[in-house]
Amino acid sequence: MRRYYTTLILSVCAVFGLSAQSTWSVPQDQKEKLNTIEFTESMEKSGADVFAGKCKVCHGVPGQNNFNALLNPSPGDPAGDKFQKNTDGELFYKISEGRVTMPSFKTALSKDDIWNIIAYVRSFNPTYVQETSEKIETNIPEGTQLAMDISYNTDKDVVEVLLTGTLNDITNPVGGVNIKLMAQRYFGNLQIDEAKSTNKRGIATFSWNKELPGDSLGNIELMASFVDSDIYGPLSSEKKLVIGKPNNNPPLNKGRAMWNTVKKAPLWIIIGYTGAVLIVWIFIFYVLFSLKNIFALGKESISEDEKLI
Amino acid sequence: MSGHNIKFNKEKLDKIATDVLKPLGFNGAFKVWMSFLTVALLACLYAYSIQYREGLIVTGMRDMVSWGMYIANFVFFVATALVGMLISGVIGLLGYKWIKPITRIAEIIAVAFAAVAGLVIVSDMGRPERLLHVFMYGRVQSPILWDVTVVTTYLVISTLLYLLPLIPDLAIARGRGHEMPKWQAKIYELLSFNWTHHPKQYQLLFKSTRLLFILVIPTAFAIHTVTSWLLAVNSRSGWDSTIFGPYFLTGAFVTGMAAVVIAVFFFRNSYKLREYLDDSLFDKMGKLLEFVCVVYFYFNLNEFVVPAYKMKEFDAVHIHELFVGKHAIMFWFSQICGLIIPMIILLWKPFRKPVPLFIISLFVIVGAWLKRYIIVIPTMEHPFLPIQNLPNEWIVYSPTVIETMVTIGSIIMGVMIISVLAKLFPVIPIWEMAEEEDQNEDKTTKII
Repeated sequence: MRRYYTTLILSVCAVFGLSAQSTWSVPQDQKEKLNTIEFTESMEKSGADVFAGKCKVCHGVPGQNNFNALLNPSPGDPAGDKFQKNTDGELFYKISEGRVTMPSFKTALSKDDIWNIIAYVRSFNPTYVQETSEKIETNIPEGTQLAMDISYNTDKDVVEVLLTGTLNDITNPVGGVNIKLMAQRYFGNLQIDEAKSTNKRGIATFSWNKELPGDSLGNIELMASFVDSDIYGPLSSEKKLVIGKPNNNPPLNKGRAMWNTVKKAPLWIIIGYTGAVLIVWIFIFYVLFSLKNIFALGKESISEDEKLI
Repeated sequence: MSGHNIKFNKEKLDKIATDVLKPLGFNGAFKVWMSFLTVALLACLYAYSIQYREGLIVTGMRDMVSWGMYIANFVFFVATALVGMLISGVIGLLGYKWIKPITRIAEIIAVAFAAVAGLVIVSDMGRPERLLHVFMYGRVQSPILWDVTVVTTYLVISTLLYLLPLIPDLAIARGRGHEMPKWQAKIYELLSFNWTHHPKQYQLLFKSTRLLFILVIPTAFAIHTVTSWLLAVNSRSGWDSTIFGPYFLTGAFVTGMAAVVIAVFFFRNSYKLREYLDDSLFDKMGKLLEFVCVVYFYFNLNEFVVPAYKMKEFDAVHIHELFVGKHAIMFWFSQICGLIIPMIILLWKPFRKPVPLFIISLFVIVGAWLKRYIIVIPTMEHPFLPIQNLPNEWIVYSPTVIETMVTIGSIIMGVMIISVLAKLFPVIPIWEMAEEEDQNEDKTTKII
């Protein structure tokens, strides 16, 4: 009897396990999230580019149902109903966080990129009407042109981001704005320090670890952006600085190695292999040579007392 | 042995030659048997033609389990082929004389199985027409190239070890005017290399075979050790083991011994050679099988008890599958019926009589085949990479009908080669059996 209970419990767990996997719950506040500006054609276009690079491999081309059906859960066609029923906020959350086989694009794509993808996906839905969130009031006067500049302070060994605003040809530092700093990696970005607020002089200061590996010259690609890009806009600044540790490791395929091409195989393995093969085959040929001698001996006459048979 | 002078007992030679040469020749029964095998083989070749046309998609192999029944079967064939080395090389060089009547049968098995092993690998290739690329673009760092090299070398040495001691026998058959068709006489003439029983010819023959006996030992060790490395150089559970080389090698001795017992039992009865393949020979073969079983059991103990004691994360999953999971029946059958029970009952003399030993060997060889399946497939089903949410048929391997037929075809091919060789040439070395025992030889020094 106990066995049946165990089976029952196991199957119940299995069912719950499956259903837990099949839902994708999005927090309420995230669900209601909206973009601050209306989608434009140029947003759709750049969204299409990002989509082709990051999403197409699993989701296929929207509207053509050529997604990778072998994956479980099925990725589905973004132009389909299942996708379009989502609110903009839900789409934004799902792209950012990912689930199971869908990777998280939080650090791989900027918020603007994600909004552009949504703009692109929505362009396949003729009944879609976009809602935008209301603009939040800030202490920066309307019409101010914001600009960011990244620099390295060699005295204090810190990275500084200067935020300035230009209104009517007068440029002033802007304080009290939260800025985050990222360093580019192979996939996604690495956040440097925590998000910092600009001071009265418009400078946000990030501590810097000199051990961070750069390229062969020590270059590191830095990116600064607003934490609240919904409020201050999608402005970001990128700069390459020679502040990383030069990474001068030779390429892995440079010297002789097991994983390299046959011409760059380790010497010991070339000598060991060819040596063993040669030795064995020399003896084999020696035996074959003996056969020739046996054949030749057949022509010799045998004296009567030597006769065996 | 190369130094000693050979002497023949002429009466003995007469009798042996008559007895051994009598069953030769392609008689009616043999033709029926070969036609049956040919028809079966054609069916299997048809299955292969489908695979050749459609590709490996017709097999049960997918991305995750990319080595299936073919590789398991390949390991089995290589293992069985090793018996030639065990009998002629190891036991022969140790100076044991009782192996004389079975040396040639062991070599036939070695040649047939080594030859077919190469073909089995080709059947596992998606593009067999690119076989030459293995040699042209092979990487010296890859065990696959080493394997191709040693399988070829072992096949050549085994063939020489089969053909060389055959030369005097072919000359004896010719000299005695043994009746045979013209084409067969031609082969006998060609392969007897102008043999006139010249004492110098015997000296050369002894020297050559002795050299090959020594050479075949490292080559055979290499062939099966490299085959085990194909698996063991991966860090996957079940393969990631330092004893895989000797584990495979000792397993090969068990498989090969069982194959030899089965073949010897067959020739003893259908060739009416009871006088030479007698009960005492079976007793000795039984003892040798017992010995290799004990050694193999020891390696099994190490191979399974040590990881099962530690139960490392991934090993635990693997061992669970083997011990109580979906491979449990196959695993315990091969371990208990194919190894442990034979090992125990062979301790008693009545079980080393021909018929019981034959039945035990059948169990051992079936168990050995299943064991190779157990070694290859369960590990493939549990990769380290966190692969999730794949379709079920990618994860769970089950061989398809086509795959099974191609595998059966390889076994048929092996049996066909053995059948032809055994009907074409004497299965017992006539001249070695008729050799006069050297009375002066010190009986106590057995080792080389």
